[in-house]
Amino acid sequence: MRVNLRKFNEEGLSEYILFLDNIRILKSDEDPPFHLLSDPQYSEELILSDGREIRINTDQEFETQIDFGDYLLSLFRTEEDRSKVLDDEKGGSWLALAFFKSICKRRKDKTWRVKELARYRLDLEGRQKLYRHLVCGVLATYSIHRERSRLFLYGPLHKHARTLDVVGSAEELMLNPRLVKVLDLLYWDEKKNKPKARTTSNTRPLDEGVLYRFIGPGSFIKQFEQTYDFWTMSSEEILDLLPAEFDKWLEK
Amino acid sequence: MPSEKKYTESQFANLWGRSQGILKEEVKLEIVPDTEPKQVKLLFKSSRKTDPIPPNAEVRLYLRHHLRLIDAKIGEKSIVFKNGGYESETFSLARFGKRWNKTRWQIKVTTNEDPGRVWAWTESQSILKGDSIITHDGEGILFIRKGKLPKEIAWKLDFPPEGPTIIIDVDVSKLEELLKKKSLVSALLVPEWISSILDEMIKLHLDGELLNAAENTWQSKWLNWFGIKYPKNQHKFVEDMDLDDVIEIMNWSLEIKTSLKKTIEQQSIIELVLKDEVNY
Repeated sequence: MRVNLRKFNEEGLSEYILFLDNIRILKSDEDPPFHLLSDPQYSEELILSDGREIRINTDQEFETQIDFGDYLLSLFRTEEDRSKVLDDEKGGSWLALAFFKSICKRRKDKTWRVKELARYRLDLEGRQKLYRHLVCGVLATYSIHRERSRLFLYGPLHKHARTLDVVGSAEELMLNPRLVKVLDLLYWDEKKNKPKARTTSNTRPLDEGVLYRFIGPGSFIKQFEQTYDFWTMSSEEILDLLPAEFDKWLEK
Repeated sequence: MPSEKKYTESQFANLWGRSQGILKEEVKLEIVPDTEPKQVKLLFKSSRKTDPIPPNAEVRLYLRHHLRLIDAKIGEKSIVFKNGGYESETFSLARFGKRWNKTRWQIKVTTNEDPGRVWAWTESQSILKGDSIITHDGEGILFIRKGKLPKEIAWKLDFPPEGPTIIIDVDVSKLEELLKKKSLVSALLVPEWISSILDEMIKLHLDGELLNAAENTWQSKWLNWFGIKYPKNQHKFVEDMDLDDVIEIMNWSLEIKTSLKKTIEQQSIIELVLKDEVNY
């Protein structure tokens, strides 16, 4: 199905939320309400800054979230345009419905393997976990870090990586390309093309050098962020500052 | 071995030895009236804390929200922190869209000669930070401020990183005064807020923001205020939790709520109200 880029109106958003409730709570096996995407009763035009007409193929498949992020960035090229979906629940949730078949999988009995609501509905009033939204989170992350976002966006579209969950909530880290480069050097497995084994291990006491020792209670970031300004440091300078417990992760 | 909290604090203390520390009264942020998109400016004044900072140190402003950032150089320390004060240029919040009011800001004073060195900083805080109405160890843990709320909503609780904040609708702003003192209104509403705050803490914990009394988060400050140890559950997504994990969390919540009944002293306040010793 091909549709022009639009955004929900109030009624469309309510209908989409009703669909999410049906498949989450009632375990309904109904199909996504794709008619909301183009029906003027439920949605309205979303005009980009350069006036481009965007056609979206709801059946388009992407191997990884990186590929998806690259595609989304080709649609929303400017910060102003990205703001039209990242800062607008009606725009972000419309996009989630457009790609719903990719971001939510079905069981054999056709019911949906639906996860936390924040992955499908852009909730800007609550705790604003933008990074958990399986479309807007990908767009926001990829637009900051491009290929370097592989540590967070290596998986298929319906998976929310644990690495992204740990780092996404720490905005001061997530926004800093130099820190993300350090994370990539520490935790990315070039051979297996995914994060190194045990990167997000959280068994207590924590293993030396795991991601939770980098960010989290009592971590490297928490100890150094007050008296070191990571924005004015190079990745190499940050690496030099790391305690010895991280050395073996660089060697892996 | 010292407790996790003491261990972390000692590490912080060692690191702070190389800096002048946190700036409070020295830096104020103001929203420029009648601007659309909203603009902010900063007011600086020197103090004994800023005097030892080298004159060529750089004063930097970080504004961030919703995975977007403004990183601006305000100027050299000798210009910014000088006798008589200094007013910065204005900065537009257009980049943060319609929810600009959620933007957080921080000032860091850095130096090129020692890469990454921070001479002084302000805490990272919301642009619209409220007045504290409950403090613990000298720090605010519950804040209050006025704001425009939807029709028929007199107040709501918001949870910015510095701590739970009660937003009072501007049309019923007198409510703020009643809430700041012992009154029937506060005696009835405070338990409701604290219950909501507990719910939020549990929700965040279940959602992966592990409660940890040693951490510098609003949840940890409330934990320390409660004086109740955090649960031993490991960080798990809700979908990974089993029944035992949930029961442990619920028992922990019950323990806190039981403890709070004594802390809140609601009964005593109501008794005073009934005896006409405090106002409604």
